[in-house]
Amino acid sequence: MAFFVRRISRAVITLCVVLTIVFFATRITGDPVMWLLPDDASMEAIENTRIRLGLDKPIHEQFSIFVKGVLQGDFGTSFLHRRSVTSLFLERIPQTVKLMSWALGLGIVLGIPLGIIAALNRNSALDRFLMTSSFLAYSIPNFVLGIFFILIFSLTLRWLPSGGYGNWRYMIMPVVTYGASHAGLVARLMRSSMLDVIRRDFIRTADSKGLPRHTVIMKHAFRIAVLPVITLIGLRLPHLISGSFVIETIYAWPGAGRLIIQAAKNRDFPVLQYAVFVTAILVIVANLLVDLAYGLLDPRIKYD
Amino acid sequence: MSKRALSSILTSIKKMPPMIIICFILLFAMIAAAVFLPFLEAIDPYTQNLLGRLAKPRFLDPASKYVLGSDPIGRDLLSRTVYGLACSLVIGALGVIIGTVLGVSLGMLSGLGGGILDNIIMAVAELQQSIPRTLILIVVVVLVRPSVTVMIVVLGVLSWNGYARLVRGQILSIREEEYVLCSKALGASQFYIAVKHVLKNIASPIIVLSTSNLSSIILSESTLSFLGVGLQPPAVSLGLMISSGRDHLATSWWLTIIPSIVLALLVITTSLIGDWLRDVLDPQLRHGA
Repeated sequence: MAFFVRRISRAVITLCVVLTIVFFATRITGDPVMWLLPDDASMEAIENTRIRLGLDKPIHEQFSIFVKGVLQGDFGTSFLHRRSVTSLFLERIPQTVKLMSWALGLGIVLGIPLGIIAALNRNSALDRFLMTSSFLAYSIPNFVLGIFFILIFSLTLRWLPSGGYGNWRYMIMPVVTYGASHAGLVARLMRSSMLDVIRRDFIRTADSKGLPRHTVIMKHAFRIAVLPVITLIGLRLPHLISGSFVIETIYAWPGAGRLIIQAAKNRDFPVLQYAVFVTAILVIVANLLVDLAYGLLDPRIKYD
Repeated sequence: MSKRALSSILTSIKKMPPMIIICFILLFAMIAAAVFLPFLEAIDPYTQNLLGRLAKPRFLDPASKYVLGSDPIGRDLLSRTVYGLACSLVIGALGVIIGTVLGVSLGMLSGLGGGILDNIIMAVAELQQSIPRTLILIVVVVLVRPSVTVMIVVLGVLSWNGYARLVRGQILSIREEEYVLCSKALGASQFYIAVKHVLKNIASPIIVLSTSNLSSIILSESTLSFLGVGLQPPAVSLGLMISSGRDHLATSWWLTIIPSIVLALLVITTSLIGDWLRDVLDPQLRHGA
């Protein structure tokens, strides 16, 4: 228990620091008003916009308004969309989560069995083929893979739409592009972890008890071998979020990643602040969950 | 680098797998192209030729004036690709150097200094890890107008983390070793111990980390430029070329596909070489992620 209290209090401090840094960093460089208005805007228009956005107040006052807002779940109004940042994100996060969970699911569903198969057929042609393709899947940049898919499946074969949001046909390419790198990484790690585990004494014991091979592999070896994979999946969250920027931009997917990229291009600070804050929360929570999952799967680990 | 590491590299060059030899040849070819082609190539990557717009590459149209075709305002794709490659390599190499120097020094400060200094440095490392690197990059690049120099500095600085942890961990683990205590008893300074015992021991993992950082810095730069939040036109970068060519994917696919292939090859060769180095230099890590 004490362990988790300590972890959580540290996480809260981290979040406060993140928030403060982002707030001040976005204010010290440049003036967003200049980016929002045309070059020939009158002084009056500039002043009005500044008042409307609350940028005329002294910076410490802006900061206290900002902190009060955050505590009430209000992150201000997007400069660009002129709507509450929270509602903008709430509208788009489900789309991003949908994409992420399908992609991660695909990565796990493909990667774990392929990794096990490769490990059990170590150094065979099958193993080499699986490992080469998983290496390629995770080292080819996402956007390069995505562009090849668009060229082949939408523009040449005309099987799938090249982007946008709609029925399941719109999901195939983004999910496969996004999931490929996870599948590759999971398969490689699963293989090396499995190879490591099946050499151990308790597996030899299970084997010599006369248990069927698949029971030994699935019941005894798998439970231990999958632990590093779980850590990896938990630690992949930042990559998953970074990936969503790319995938959503390529496939014009109306999710949070694309919103963030548009905000960055237009210096829409409130959106960026929210993005940094929410991802920091997500990453910290994911790290906690990884620790918890460890405790559940491996009875040898106890937190106190 | 210790003699042991050097001799282990030499013996492993002798039994280098063919795949790695191909990777090295490819990488050297790319570096050579990036270094020499700007001098040999008569066509400048910025020269526009509106009469020669969207020319096909020579492998599709043997009569074409342009070896790899031209873009929508008639700029030569071959020289642009080579410039983009050079840009990636320069950003990658200098970024790695900045990251290594910064990370190793901070790791030493943290490990040897201990106390508050150590706490602060490690807290910053943890803070940075809780936000995806691409997002930090996006915010920083939005704040500071992105140029090649800015990209090098930002990408380099943000990669300090791994080195610092590595060096700090090494210092903590050997601090109580007998040979270090002996050296201390003989009056060696902290700095001497850091250089003589820590750096020598840690040279190989640092090389391994640097190679993997090289490919991740190259990838980050091209991803940001592709997303439109990195280098801005008229700068030449593979990411930018891939992104601007997308509008013509249906009609002139080579505008996007050629720089994509070059970028993919660059990333794949550097990460294969990195994996190989890890296996050779760091046998304990072989089963790691």
